[in-house]
Amino acid sequence: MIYQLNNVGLSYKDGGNTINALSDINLELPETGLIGVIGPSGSGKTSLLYVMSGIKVPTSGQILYRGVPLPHQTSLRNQLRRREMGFVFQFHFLISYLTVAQNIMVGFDGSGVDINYMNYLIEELRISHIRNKKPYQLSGGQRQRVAIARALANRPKVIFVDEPTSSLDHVTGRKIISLLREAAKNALVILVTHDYENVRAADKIVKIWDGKVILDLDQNQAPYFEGSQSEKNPKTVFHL
Amino acid sequence: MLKPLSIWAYYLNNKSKIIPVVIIITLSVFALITGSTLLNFVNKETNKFIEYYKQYYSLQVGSLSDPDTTKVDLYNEIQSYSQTDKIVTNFYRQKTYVLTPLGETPRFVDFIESSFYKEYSNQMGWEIIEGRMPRENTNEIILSKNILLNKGLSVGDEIGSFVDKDESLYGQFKIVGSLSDKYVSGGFGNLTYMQQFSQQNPDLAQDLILIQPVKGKEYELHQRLVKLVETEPGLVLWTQYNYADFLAQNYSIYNQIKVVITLVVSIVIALSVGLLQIIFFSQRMREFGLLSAIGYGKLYIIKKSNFELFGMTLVAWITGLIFTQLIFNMLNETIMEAKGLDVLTIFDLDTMIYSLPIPLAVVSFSMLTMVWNLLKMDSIQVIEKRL
Repeated sequence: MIYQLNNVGLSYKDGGNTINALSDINLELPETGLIGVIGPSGSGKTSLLYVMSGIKVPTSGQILYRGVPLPHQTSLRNQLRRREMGFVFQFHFLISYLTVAQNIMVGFDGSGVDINYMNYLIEELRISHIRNKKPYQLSGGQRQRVAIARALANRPKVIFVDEPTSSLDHVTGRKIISLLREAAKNALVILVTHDYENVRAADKIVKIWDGKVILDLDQNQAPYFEGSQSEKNPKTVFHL
Repeated sequence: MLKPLSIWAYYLNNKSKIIPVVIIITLSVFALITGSTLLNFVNKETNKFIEYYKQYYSLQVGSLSDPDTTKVDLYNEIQSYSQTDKIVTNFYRQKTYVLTPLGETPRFVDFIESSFYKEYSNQMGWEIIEGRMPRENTNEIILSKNILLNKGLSVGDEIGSFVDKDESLYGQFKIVGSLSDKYVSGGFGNLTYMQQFSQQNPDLAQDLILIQPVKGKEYELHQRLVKLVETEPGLVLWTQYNYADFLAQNYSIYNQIKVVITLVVSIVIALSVGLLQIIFFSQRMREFGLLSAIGYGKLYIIKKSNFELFGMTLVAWITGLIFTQLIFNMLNETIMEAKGLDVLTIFDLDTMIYSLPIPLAVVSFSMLTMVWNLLKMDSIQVIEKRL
């Protein structure tokens, strides 16, 4: 078990109101595999990703990473641990003045780059023809693919992926899910999406609704997940 | 391939941003060094006379207040001092002026006995490099090569107010030789001729005597002469000591001017470059937010951005120094060497020091604002695109 979340909550003040982004989240996640985190917009999926990655600190509960509580957000240990992780944010966040190839290498601090693996990713993501271009010369889909290559390039142990296919065409989207699936053989990939199609290949599906986990399906149940966004019956899920 | 997080990556990929910053720093370094060098030039020019006064103290004998005191008595008294090695009473001095980038500066042209030529030349560190010494009872003079260069004259030419009305050297003299300088440029002519010439032109006569101190007794003689001058208001004394005091006062004014100019320029440049840096910095918040989110600590980002700033400022400062020296080389070739003046150079500690506040102020101001902004930075706001 790489992750264990015990009664994790995250709340913040918005004006005079307290917003509960997450409440009483209890999850156990394995060392490897593709975890699909689904739910409608504003349900708390991204907040879950932030607290698990250590970017945000939960306001209640505890997150154990390899059995050790997540340290404070700014601590060096947390920073070093985050270097073991790959991130694909909702917005691609490419560094505007670097080329595609340099952007992919950002996580390496300039050293220890596995050029062969980087080239493999570049080929698989169909971005080899743009490797020397700057982000402003790319389309939205190309930027997202570069961001994915950046997240995968240092072979992270945990990969957080937030809506990776939102700006991609169907074929590229499938390709990316396939790559994530492959990466999940050696790493834990946490895929946040509102697209039910993307989690069909998941080993585990976690459905978030209003900041709470309302479904936690293991690999036996996940393939039969069909999904529903019905507020009346959010747990309508199975296609048996 | 350039490492993506190299401190040079940002500026090398954003040349349009580094160029204005480098230009601002380069030009300000150029302005400060040039200003400082020119002020130093003036200081050095005046300082050269210290070397003169180390060889000979000069006593100008004006209207003596005490009618009972004759000049002969005065000479005898000074001659009687045990600290006096030699006194030269038969002596006329005129001045000619050389043109420098900051105006004109005087050079002494002394009229002395022909028997004193050699000794005087040796004392002043002059050596004949062309022509010969002036002959007895002629209007011939010998001048430093640098004075000739400055005035565009050569051995064989004539000089003086009778030839050129703008020339301060009164009369008409034939240049028969040129001298190399060790300390200060100057020249001399024949006393006999000048004595006769001054009889027809009484305003020319300068009641000036030269006093050579005994080696090792220089300061004692200075003190005795100071006491003597205090009793006689008509006397004006210049020795290496009171001239140094005079210079120190001038230096103090120059230095104050330099400090004020340096401070003002440094602050203005630091503010303008700092503001540019803040603009560039704000454009990079997403980059810093991303780096922070993927595990680069704020300390790393602060260190990286400060090294970038330091590297860029260092490059700009060095560019400023190189640019300044190139301009100086051009000025040296076209003006300074051609006019027999000391060459301008940045390789002078005093000059260099006055260019340092610019990079220091730029780095300090920009560093403070960047560190402040980075410490405040919330990577979550950045990656959620709220910044």
